Amino acid sequence: MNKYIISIDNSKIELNIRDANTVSMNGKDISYDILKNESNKIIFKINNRIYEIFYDEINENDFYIYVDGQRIKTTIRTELEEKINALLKKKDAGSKATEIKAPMPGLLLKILKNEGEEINVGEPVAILEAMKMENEIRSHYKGKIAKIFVEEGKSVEKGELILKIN
Amino acid sequence: MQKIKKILIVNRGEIAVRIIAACKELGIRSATIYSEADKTSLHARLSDETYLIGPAPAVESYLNIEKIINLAKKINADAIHPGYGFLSENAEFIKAVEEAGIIFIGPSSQSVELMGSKTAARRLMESNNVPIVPGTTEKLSDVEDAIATAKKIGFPVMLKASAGGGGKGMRLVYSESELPEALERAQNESLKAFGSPDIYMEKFIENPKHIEVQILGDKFGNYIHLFERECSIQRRHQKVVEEAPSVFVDGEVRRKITEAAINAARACNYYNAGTIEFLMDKDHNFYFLEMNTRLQVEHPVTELITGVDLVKEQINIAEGNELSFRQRDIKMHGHAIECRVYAEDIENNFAPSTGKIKFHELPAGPGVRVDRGIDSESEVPIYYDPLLSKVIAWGSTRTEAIERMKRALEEYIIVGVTTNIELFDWILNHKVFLEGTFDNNFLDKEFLPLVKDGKYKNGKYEKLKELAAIATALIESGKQNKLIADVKHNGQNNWLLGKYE
Repeated sequence: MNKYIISIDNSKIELNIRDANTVSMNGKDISYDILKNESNKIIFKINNRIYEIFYDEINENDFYIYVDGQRIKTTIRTELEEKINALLKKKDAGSKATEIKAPMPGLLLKILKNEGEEINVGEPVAILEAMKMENEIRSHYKGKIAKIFVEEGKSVEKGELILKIN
Repeated sequence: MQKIKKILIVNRGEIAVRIIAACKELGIRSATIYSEADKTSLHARLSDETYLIGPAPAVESYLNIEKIINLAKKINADAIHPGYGFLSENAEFIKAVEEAGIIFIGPSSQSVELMGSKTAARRLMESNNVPIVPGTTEKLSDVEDAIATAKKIGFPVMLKASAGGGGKGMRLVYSESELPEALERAQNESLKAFGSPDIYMEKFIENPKHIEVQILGDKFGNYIHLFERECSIQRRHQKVVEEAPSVFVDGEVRRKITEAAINAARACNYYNAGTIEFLMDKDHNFYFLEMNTRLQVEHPVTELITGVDLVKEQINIAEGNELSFRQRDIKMHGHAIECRVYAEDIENNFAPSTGKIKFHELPAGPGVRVDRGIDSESEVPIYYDPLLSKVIAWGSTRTEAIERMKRALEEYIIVGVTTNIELFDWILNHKVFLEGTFDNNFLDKEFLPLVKDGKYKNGKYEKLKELAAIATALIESGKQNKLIADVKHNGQNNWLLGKYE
């Protein structure tokens, strides 16, 4: 028996897989039948409909679920993981530093701010060249540039830390 | 007249695949080039012959004129097809092809020189009674020149690459203070994309529509048009949805704009397939924007409403034959829409995404066509344009085409990279799109404000959340069960094998 909390956007759905044919969602029992389960694809039947669902495992907890032309990001945690995560989040909210990361891999052409400079929400902080286009990276935060981690003219990977704002 | 036996296609992705299809149907041998980043790509696999041309960066591979010409000679290709982008509008390249005694499937280098420089093209159009957007017909000499010109024609102004197209090296400028930085960046982008930093200036026409006309011309001076395409749905000055015909263009406007298009082509002794792009204001006044002397990304919508295979016709013209059609043979039938599927993140300012395609399942059925450069296991490299594929739907009416497109996109699965597919669901259900009254700013105005918090997602998404949750739980629990089963299984085997004795 497996009990999970699934988060999608801001909503949480409780799922309890009771046995090989019954799942309870937020306390309500639904019977299901798995027809196929392979990498990137699962086929199951609920009531009179067969669902063919494609998926991509982003990491241990996060999935992209592809259904009817929509891509839905889901996060799955066991009850215990969910509790730990809530605690971590609380701790995180205490610290104020915010990070700006490279949204895609590319060449960092220009950094438009210096350490110690003030920055507003929506203001461009750097220019990243990727796929022949110059892309502005804008700040989602207001504050002061605490530290810059990358030099101009260097390549960055997706998700690489560019600078921190206090 | 010379029958072409082997074509070297010097491009990649969906357009290379499209040209291979025409070659196969005509019984012509197809050869392609690929870079080190494209070793497993679809276009290399589908062609009859394929050759490694160089390292991943385009300047060392798909843009390397010397290597390409040498290869064409070595493999005895009697023609070269450039596709779009890369070397397709590079007069120096076309000249090199001509000098090597190889047929270029496109216009002469002289025509491209005339039209390739956007400033020269503006001068030519002006003198041939094709209306142009107010602005300069020469490149800007420096920042001072730019500021003076902008003040004269009035802000906002548009900076554009003289050698450009496709939105690269283009900047919209609202005030004098933004101008120096914008000019510098446009020049940089232009230099990298086209090898020339020359920028010119046009008055910015507020809320225009982008309407273009497809033409065909042969080497005997015969010209026909294949009606207009509506390409106003754009982001970052690049088209994402195109259709033919335009609901905004009626019989009289169509007659005038197609006539202007043919005048434009004739003015530069053009032969090949070509596109004359116009901006159209709300009163149906239109202005010459530029001429693209090549096949367009959106050519399939024209093919579907006219029944003309534009790539085959390009080859026919290049062989030195007369056009296969007269104007009276060209009839418009039904309506077609194209959605460009890009590897990009619509929630993050359309930033390009990369990665490996883990799963790819195509839509099918009545009225659906997909031109694609990808397959399962394809890599999406960082080095090139992020266009993955194009879904094109045809219907006897616009409504039918739209409904078919919606169905096709529901069927289309691309797992592994972030794509813009969800954007189309929003567009195709939007009132303004359905009315046909949208202009070039439609996405910026209507879509961008909804991106934050995912507000563009419709009711369908909400309804699917519970299903997605069930699927996630079943996948995860399946994984756990398999893990336990594997441990048990391996354990038993190991005992039997005597490993744990």
